Amino acid sequence: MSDTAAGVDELVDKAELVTQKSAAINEWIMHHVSDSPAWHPLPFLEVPLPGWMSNHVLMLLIGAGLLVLVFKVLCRYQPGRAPRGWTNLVEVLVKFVRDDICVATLGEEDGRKMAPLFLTFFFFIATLNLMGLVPLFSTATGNIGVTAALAIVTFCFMVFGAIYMNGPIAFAKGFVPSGIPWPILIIIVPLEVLGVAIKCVALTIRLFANMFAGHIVVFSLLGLMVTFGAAALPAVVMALAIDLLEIFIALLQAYIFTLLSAMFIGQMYHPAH
Amino acid sequence: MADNAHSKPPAPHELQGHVEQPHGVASPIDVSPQMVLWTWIVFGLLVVVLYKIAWKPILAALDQREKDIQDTIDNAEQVRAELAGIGQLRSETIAEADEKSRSILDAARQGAQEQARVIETKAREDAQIIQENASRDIETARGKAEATLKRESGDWAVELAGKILGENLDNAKNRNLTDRLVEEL
Repeated sequence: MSDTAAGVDELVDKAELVTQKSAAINEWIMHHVSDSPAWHPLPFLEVPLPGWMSNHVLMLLIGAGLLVLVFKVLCRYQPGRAPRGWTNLVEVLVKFVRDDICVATLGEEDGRKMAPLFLTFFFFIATLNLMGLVPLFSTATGNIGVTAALAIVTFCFMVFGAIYMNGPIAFAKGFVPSGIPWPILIIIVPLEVLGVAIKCVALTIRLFANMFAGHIVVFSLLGLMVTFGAAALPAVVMALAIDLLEIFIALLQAYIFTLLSAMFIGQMYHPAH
Repeated sequence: MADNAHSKPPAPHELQGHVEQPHGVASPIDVSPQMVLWTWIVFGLLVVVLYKIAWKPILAALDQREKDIQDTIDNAEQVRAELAGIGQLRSETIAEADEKSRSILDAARQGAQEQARVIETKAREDAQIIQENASRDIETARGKAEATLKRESGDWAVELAGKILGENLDNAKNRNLTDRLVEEL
């Protein structure tokens, strides 16, 4: 009987240990994916940042700097010569965003006019997303403040851009679907008005959650190694697979954010749809 | 370690603590105004800077290239039409030259035939004249020869007769006689 008691005690100890480790890992993960006042480029290396800056702000700045550097240094046009290498790659993406996102959702004229905004959306978000997969950096788009700020930009174009384009009366009429009896309009109109905000909240959360969750999955799989030791070695392979998937998701989410922004703005610009 | 483990039965509290407050780290779904502001600043600057250094030149280059390709296609069409025109012109020119050379040849042949005919006619005429002259000359010579023979033979006959008769007849009488003899002969 006392043997059994001892066995149970041992089991409880083990369980307790696992719980503690899990708690530690949980804390470590949350710490890793959250914003912090210091930059951790490498394990055991902490670069303190000034008070007005945080890790994710630094990532925003580095991402923007990288983009400027890439476009300034690597994209070159020499007169009389076909563009090569990097310039071609960028051109493919630029043409894709302009033709298949902007022009497709906003029409020829508005699409071309607003292409720079969506190009910046796409390249900035893609850069920030991909930076999260590079060991030195962390994911600024895994911060809901960043994605909210970007979605608010879309919101401003949906509201103020549409008012500017169509005038306030046509803008207001856009919320009243035609051919619907008035009692139903009492329900529909508030929903339509709320819809504008809801769309932007969805944009915010979609990008944030994808980036945030992706990293949590990778870290959790690696955390299994801490909890269970070598027995969890296959988890590393899975983590690698998820990491590769993350590369795809990083680009996909940048595309989705840009496409949906363009679609939402296009719907407000041309309310006939 | 075991002590620690045993002193932890109030698990719900502990668990709650972990979920709500992961040790001083802010909740991930708190929107920090500072972060929003920073994002706007960086994004706004990035739109302006990238527009200047990237979007404007790249989009301009893309548009320019599209235009160039369209121009090249149009130009090729035009060149093809021009070439077709040139081809037609060439065959027309060749046909014309052919026609002209043929007419020149025909004219030359006709001229040569005409000339040959003229030469032939003239040669024939000349030959006829020569023949006629020759005939006339022969005729004249024969007449002369006949006359000479007549006279000679008359003289010979007179001489012969004189010799026979031994007497010379009067010349005028003689001649009349001779003529009459010849006529009779």
